[in-house]
Amino acid sequence: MSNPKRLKLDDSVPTQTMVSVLSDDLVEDTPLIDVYVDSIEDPKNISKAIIQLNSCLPILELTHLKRIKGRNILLCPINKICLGDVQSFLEANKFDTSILKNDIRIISVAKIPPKTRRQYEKVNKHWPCNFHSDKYVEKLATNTLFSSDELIKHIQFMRMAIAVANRKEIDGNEKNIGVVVVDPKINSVVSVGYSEELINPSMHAGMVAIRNVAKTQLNSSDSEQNLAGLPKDILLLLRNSFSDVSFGARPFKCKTDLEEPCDGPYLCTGYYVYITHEPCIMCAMAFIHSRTRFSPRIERVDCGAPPGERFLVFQARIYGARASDLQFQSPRVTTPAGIVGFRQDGYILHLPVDHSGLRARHLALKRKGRLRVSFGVKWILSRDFCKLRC
Amino acid sequence: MEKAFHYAREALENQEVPVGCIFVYNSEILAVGRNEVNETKNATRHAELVCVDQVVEYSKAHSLSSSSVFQQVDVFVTVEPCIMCAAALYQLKVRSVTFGCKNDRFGGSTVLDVAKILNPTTAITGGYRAEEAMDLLKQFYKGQNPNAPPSKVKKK
Ligand SMILES: [Zn+2]
Ligand SMILES: [Zn+2]
Repeated sequence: MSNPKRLKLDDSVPTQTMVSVLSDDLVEDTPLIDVYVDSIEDPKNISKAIIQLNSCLPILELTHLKRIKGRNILLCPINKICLGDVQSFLEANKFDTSILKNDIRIISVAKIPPKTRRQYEKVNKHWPCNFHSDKYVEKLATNTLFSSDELIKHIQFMRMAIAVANRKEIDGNEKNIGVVVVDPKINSVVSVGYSEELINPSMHAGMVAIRNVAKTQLNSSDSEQNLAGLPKDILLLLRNSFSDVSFGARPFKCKTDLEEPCDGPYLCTGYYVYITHEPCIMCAMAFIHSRTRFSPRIERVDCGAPPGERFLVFQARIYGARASDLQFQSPRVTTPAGIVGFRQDGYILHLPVDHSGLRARHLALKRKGRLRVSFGVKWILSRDFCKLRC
Repeated sequence: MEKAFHYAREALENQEVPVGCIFVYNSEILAVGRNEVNETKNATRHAELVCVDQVVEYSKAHSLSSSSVFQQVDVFVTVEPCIMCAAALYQLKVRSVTFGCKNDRFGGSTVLDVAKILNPTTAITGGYRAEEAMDLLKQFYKGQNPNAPPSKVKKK
């Protein structure tokens, strides 16, 4: 890659144009299923009908649906019984069919519980259904996850990653990829990453960033701001261009020295990663191993293709503790997963996060007494993943 | 493979996740490694990547191009390479990977089929002395990873 293209983040882009990039199950409409419905002659019989139906024809897979809509009553999915047999089935199961109008129709209703309010509102029109709003998912879906202050910060650190990628000192044959690792607790840049692939083909920018974080924890100096993760020339460059940003890691303490052990830097726990290019699988997994909290990225969208489709939406999906996971009891608990992104005209930033789903899953398993170990991570990747450049 | 197990045991003695790895080049052992995550405070220092660095050093010392060396390397590792390492080995185009037991949490074939995405030239086989490798892991996870902080979720 000689004469690399310069990356830039347009100053004029308003922050409001940032858009979350969500997994398909949150973006698409809730899938539908066809069911039989009938009407009830006399509203007085509604509760009687519900009680009788729930005992003779319970629909376990559709418990998210109400049984009644006005005078209409939901009988069952059409794949259970043929239309002609519904009447006789009900009678055979001691259902008092005289309270029905015997006007069986087929309608489409939500097959699974809706996950976002938008999905709910749409599907609730078909047939009333229950909806438990997940605050985090809702923020993602409505693009309100970050306050404008937070957005400004994210953009600033992303600019910094671009500055690292574009720095003049870089060997012309080295890929111009930049990474900035930030400790959000002290709002300070802990390390930077840049490709060293010419020296060692496995040292992608992401791996270099992680290695540089490790440097801050190995050289435990007592200074308040450990600068070991920032090469001098890059630090100088960034200090000149970003005068209001602080640099350096918190002093690293051993586990035994910490009052609140969760607080101390451990690997990259809680750190934010800003990376100018989609991480390759190796680097993405390296961030997960390192327990970074999330990693936005930015990438140019080539004209022509609709932005949403050209980009990977890689998504770490959590599957609960399976029997095989229980073989060893690992102390590890959570791994970041999921993805958010921003879309700004020609750019997208992604942030793999997802605490909500994970937490919900965790609690559910805990309740069942099944959770003894951590989660595995299952990656669902789009076709485009293999084309990425990191 | 025995050598790889030797290094896995060494990792266990050093309170690291017991994974051992060797790289063979021209029927000679070119690199040996074990997990060094805790001692380097770097979560990417898996046995495989430790070996990768040694190959880079070797190539430099012998004025060889590391990419051509990697293409003739056969990797033996006690546990299925994780997603990260599998991706690394495939990207480096090593000739083959032989592993012991599966890695149900992060495995580069078991959890996510990295090969399907990267279409590597590398041949990969597993299941060699799998029980032995699994036993080592079980021994390790019986004790807590001494360097990991207690989980926040568990505390609540
Ligand atoms: Zn990479
Ligand atoms: Zn690995």
